[in-house]
Amino acid sequence: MAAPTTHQAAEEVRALVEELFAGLDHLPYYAFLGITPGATPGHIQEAFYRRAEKLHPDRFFNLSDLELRNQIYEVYKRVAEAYRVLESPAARKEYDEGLARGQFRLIRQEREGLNLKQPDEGIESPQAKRFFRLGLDALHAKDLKGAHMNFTFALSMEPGNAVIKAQVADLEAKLGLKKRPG
Amino acid sequence: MSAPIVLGIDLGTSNSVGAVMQGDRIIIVPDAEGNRIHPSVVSFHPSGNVICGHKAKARRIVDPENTVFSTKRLIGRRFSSPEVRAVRARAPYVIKEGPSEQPMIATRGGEFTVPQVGAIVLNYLKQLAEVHLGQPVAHAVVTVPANFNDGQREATKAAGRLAGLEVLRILNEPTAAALAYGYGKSLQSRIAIFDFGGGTFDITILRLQQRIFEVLATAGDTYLGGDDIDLRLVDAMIQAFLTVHGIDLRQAPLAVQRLRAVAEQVKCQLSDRARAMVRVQEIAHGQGGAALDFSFSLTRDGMNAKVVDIVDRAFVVCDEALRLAGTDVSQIDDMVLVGGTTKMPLVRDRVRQYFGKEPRADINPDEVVAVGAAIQGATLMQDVGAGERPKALLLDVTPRALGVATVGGYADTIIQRNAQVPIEQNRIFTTSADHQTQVVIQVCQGESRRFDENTALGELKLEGLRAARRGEVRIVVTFEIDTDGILRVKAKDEETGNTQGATIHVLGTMTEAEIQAAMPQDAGGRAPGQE
Ligand SMILES: Nc1ncnc2c1ncn2[C@@H]1O[C@H](COP(=O)(O)OP(=O)(O)OP(=O)(O)O)[C@@H](O)[C@H]1O
Ligand SMILES: [Mg+2]
Repeated sequence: MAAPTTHQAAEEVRALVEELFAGLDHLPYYAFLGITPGATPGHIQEAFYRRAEKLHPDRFFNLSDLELRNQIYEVYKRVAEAYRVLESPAARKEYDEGLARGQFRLIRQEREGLNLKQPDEGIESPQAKRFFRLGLDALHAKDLKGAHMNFTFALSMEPGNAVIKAQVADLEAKLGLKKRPG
Repeated sequence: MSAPIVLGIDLGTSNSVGAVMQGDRIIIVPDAEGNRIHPSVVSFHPSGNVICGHKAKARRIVDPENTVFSTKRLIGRRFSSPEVRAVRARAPYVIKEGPSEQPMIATRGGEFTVPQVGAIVLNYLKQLAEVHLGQPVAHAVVTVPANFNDGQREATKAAGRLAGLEVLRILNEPTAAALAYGYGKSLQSRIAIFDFGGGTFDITILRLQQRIFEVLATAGDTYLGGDDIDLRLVDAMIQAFLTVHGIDLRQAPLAVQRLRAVAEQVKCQLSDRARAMVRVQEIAHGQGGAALDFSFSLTRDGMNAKVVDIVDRAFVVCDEALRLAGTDVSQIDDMVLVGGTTKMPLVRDRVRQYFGKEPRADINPDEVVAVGAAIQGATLMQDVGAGERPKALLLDVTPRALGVATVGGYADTIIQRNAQVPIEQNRIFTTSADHQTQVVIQVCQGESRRFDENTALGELKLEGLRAARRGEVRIVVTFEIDTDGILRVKAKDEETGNTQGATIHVLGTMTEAEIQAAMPQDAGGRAPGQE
């Protein structure tokens, strides 16, 4: 018994969702907000609010078409991402530069070495590893002095190791220890 | 056919409130005596009955070991956490370590997980609502402090399920308050929600644009509330007694327990008058076993001087929230006060001084959160044709940064604090040893660079990786925070496109199996609240 206008609007939302869902792999943020790359900051917020009113998943809480609901969710997350990036002038600049090279989405490059899981990754000597672990345990127990001692031992087993050095420096700052000059 | 009823529940540290929206009308759920706010207290009576609400609060003094309160401070926390340790040091009931590092509460009625105790309170509200409305209630929106982490939200949701409620949404308390304040008013303004409760303090800044409620920033202190004021007054009382009688009441836990109740009374009285006087009978025994009474009198100014430093800690948090929102006090159009502690004249004065204007006076600070939850419940259930505009739309944020452990014991932030939800962020993980078939990623919430200084959420395990040289297998892990503020994780092998099994084991909460095992078999069997 939906009025024709309601029906029309529903079809409009469905068409928009389908278009944007199909574009998740290649459409720029501007398309997700329905604006041009020249949009002013005021426009961006306004466009986001308009999209949110149309596509926010909360509106479709009771939708029985699960596939459409899932598409709406995925599309909305990208709409929000577009807003988050374009709203910040610095991020927008970075995005626009990437876009000119064909990157439709701002994904920060992984910083080298940060994905390694083991905390003692990058330490070679088993003794240094052992003291490093003891240091972490001490830190966990909030024993800063104990941690400092163990990290210092670890560093003496493997002098110059950047991972261990960072820990020692961090704790020295925390404990208010300054290396004596010379 | 009308949409099903949704019970909005403000599950507070000290008190809980239930509300439902029927048509445009809000109903606050009363108990049999007509009380609209219900102490979040559960007492296990010798008769085997489980008692809740006001009747249970009264038992705190006569049966402290079996009367459980303030469990919100424990929810979703690991047994070894400082929070649990702090509660254990003061609570008159027993807290033990249970499975998955959960705290367990041991009473004469048995041992309970914290979500189970929460479920008893939620079920009590559900029953009150059913009695009052004369129909079953199966759905709820439950509120939590904005800065609850993932584990605390999960545990609250589990409590709802254990109570026989389908929890449609875990909603942030301040956001709920904002909704209650602005719903249907078509405002265009910036507001601050100042929530000073029993156990926690939260401040949230929102931008309202007609039907849209956009949270700009939220910040809070989980160790700041009216309880701290009570404890300060207890200290003063103990000191006074020591001076007069030379007896240290700290040696008598029951006496301290009674003084806490008295301190709260004195504090609340001083919200309405300038001086309060109490007399506590037989608080201790003096020489020769003679019973000693204790009289204590305090002026409002006297109390203010003792607790102003506690109250002022709230404004440090306000500074932070305004900074995060990129705004300042001059741009705040309205302040909404939430929580029992905002009834203190001292708090109102400080708020007025800080924001340079009068806070709203027409909002009930005890009920506003539950009202907002009820509105959100009704809004979610409302069958919005795609052509209509929603009556209200909440754009909320995640209060804590989400990070993963990295080399050297540091944390690498994946999702920034105060990012709007739902949000997803991808991260690529590689193997770090030859022929490694499994990657374990530790996940935490918090802003510290050091993993240990954040709250560890648990471990994410990626298994069954292709055996290859180190660094060759690349897995894209998607971290997602949903509209409940709950973390979801997906993993995909970049090369094969295969979805990778990713499980996250959240510590300090019940596993799905434990929830299932704890689900009541005889739903509706024992009715809490009856003696
Ligand atoms: N009239 C009053 N004057 C001063 N303090 C009051 C008054 N009434 C209640 N309080 C205090 O308010 C606190 C309870 O507030 P509230 O019910 O908002 O907390 P809660 O929602 O249970 O806790 P939280 O929000 O921290 O989880 C208690 O510390 C109580 O002593
Ligand atoms: Mg509260």
